[in-house]
Amino acid sequence: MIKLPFAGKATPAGLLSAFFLAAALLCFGDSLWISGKAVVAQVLIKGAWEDTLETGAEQKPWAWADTWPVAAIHFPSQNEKLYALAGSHGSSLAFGPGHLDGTALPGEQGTKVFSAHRDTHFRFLEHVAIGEVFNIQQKDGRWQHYRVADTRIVDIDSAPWVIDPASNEVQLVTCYPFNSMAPNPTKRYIVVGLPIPPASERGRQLARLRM
Amino acid sequence: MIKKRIPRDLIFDPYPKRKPAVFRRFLVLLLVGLSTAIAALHVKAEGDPENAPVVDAGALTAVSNNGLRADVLHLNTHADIKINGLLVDVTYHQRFKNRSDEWVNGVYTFPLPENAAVNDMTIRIGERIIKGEIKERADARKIFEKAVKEGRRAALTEQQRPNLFTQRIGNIPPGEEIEVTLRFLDIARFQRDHFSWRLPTTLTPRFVPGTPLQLADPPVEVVNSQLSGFAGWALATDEVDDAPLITPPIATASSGHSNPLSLTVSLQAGLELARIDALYHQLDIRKEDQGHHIYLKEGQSEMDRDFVLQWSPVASASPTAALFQQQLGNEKYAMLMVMPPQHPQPQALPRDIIFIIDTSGSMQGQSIVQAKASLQLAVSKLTLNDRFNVIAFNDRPLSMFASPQIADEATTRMAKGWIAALQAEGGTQMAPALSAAFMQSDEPERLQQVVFITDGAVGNESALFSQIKAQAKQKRLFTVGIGSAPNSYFMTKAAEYGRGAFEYIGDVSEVNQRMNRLFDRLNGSVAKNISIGWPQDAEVFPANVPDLYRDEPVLSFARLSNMPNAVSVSGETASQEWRRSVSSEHVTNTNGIGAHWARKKIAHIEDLGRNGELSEDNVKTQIIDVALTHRLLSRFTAFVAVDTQIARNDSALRPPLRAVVPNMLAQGQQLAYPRTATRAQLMLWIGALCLLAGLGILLVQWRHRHD
Repeated sequence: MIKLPFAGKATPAGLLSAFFLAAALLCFGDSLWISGKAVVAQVLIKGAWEDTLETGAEQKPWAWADTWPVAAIHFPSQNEKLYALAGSHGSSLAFGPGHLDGTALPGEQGTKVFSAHRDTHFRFLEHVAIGEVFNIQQKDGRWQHYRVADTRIVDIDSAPWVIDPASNEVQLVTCYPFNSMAPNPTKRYIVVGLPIPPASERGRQLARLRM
Repeated sequence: MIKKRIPRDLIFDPYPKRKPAVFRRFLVLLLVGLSTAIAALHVKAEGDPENAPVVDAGALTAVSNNGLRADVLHLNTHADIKINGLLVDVTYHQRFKNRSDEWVNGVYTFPLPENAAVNDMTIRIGERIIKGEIKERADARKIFEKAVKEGRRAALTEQQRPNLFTQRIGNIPPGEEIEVTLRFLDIARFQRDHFSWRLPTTLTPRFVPGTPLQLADPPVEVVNSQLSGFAGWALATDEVDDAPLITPPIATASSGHSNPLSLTVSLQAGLELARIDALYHQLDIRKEDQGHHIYLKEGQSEMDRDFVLQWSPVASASPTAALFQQQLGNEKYAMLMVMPPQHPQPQALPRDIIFIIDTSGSMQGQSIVQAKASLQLAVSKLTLNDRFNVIAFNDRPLSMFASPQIADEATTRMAKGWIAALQAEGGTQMAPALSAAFMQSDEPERLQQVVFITDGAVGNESALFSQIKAQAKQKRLFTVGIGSAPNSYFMTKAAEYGRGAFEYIGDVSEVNQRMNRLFDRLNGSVAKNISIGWPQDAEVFPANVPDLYRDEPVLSFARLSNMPNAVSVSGETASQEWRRSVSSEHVTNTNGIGAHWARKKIAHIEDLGRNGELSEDNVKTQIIDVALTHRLLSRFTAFVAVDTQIARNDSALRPPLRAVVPNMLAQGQQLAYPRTATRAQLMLWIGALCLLAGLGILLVQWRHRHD
């Protein structure tokens, strides 16, 4: 008969291994909790966003939430559909991409900044290539289309952050490198999207160019 | 020999050999690995994104890529400071050098002391000096823009806040420089045993509350013109309609940018001095016949922290009163300084004390460390006589207790734990935090005090002052300014409206001394109902003298037709009537008193406007009237200087580059990018390591049992 090591008298080594196994369980649990929360919350946020589209009013995804959805981000090429929350605090980033306070909201004039965790919602940014098209839905339900114009890596200790209120671009910000385990790295990966003007607008621009 | 071929687990060994070396080594390795990982986790605990410090609107850095360049215009600042007793007279040279090979129009947003009376501006082009003129702001803008369009070199100085200004320079030729020289007057602060004077050099990015205005509807002056329409990183909002003007880009030292500052101080204290030092700079001090000459030891300093000079007279020479005057035309302007009575402190009364601590994103770095240290010290100084509460705020306030609690051992211990866990993140919504503090208990038999610990990095100062005025009632508000570049205008004015006092803490080492002094003051004012016996016809500012706190003098400014023989000061102390008379026999004649008086008058008009006693139109006309008479920069007036010669004649060529001089990130502060990593991956690794360790031990043990 095979005797289990922990059946019988507790040895120091047995205790130690039990401790490590329990710790492992806690760590995996924590890790799963973080990723799980990020996935599950998006479902609730989606519901709140649909309510917002219908009523036009801010709608909290759950009663005790201190944030609310402000936009939907759709990346067809990456098969990603995300619902972004107001604010880039830890308390919104845990549940979805956060819209940076102080920058323009979708539908407004100015640079719009969204950030999200590199190990949850914005993990896919790693695979986004220049030229890909993504769409952002604003509160009135309209979609604006963007084309990825640039991807860049900045060091937050030195690089000034380019946020131009006169531009209409979208910046998607996440931590870099993607596979690092550091919980607070000093590099950021920024995907810059420029609006694709609607067809009619494009016609007008072309006309202007020809003049 | 044969033994080796039998599987180990089938062999029965009554005296199993221990394998301590291998086992121990394995364990040691594991433990080292684990503890490193755990240590790393703890060190990085601040980076825990769940509670992570976050970006607020006030912490973005931006360089517009819409033609506004941050790299072509270099600034060199030299301050020539003359201190005579209490009076500070500064000639402030800003040398803008165009480092590109194109023409440049530049803009620079810079701080000056909150009471600075800016009363002169000139520009220097090579050897030529052109005197600036004071105009109504809108007119000055028009003159400046016209000049720039015509290709003339020009400069325009405007005030955005009493401590925040904008310098615009038009048509700087390729590779050349234009020097703008401002002159301003200020008054040194005297407290108990020392004088101090503060020159701010950069600003902490301001939080801009409110909802952005649609761009179709921004304040006219922001968008109206290509030249003056400087876009800061913040959009105009319904609460801060000039947000783009007070949010310049911020540069870090490591980005290679540098704004060097040099200065010379000529100090004539008029008293024998025991000590001269600067809080955040090394000095080179030379004693001469006419006082002291002071330089920066390094020659230059980065503009990333306030310059604070302190000088202490020998104990016997401390001043108790002084009277200054200046004759301007038919009018005399006078300034009176009187120290309060040196009565022993009144017995500490029972009190309710509410602490508000700013935990917004702009407090990240050293600021939150200083703020927490001050708060911890304050809590440890409370006695059973006190009831207290702590409110931490960023986007919303968070109150530790529902109502103030007796400061016994249990509650203070709890508070210390609670404070230790605070982290800086989010926006700076001061209004709800102040409301929450003012709404806490209000028992007239206890002293009601609010201590507000913050860097003051907000753009809606005026609205907050109105709120303090309306809500404070019995409560007194004391401000503690934190960090290398606090918003001193907010600190002093909020304390004035809250009938309290203010302190600054720019380094953890100062916490002890400053909080002790603050607590001295919390024990109550030393004299109330102060009245100053200026002649009947005098126009006096401040109109109502605030209560006096220990070791801080009364300052009063008056415009009068004749100087009386003596000016009397009276008030009530806890025990008796206090009365003093200052003879005008030894009055000092000095320049600048008129400018100070005018500056106080402007502040008074602004107060009336804020209280609703004057309409905004009346505020404007009255301020313009005072400011133009006294040649003062104000919210409604600006200095403009235009070259007579036309420098740029190539209107057919490209328009000048638009350039901005970024402000330096204040020492000890961090650029607040969002924290976009979770600990998920780290936990995964630690988990895997733990699993490995646990299984490893099991395996070793198991093998060892079956050996």
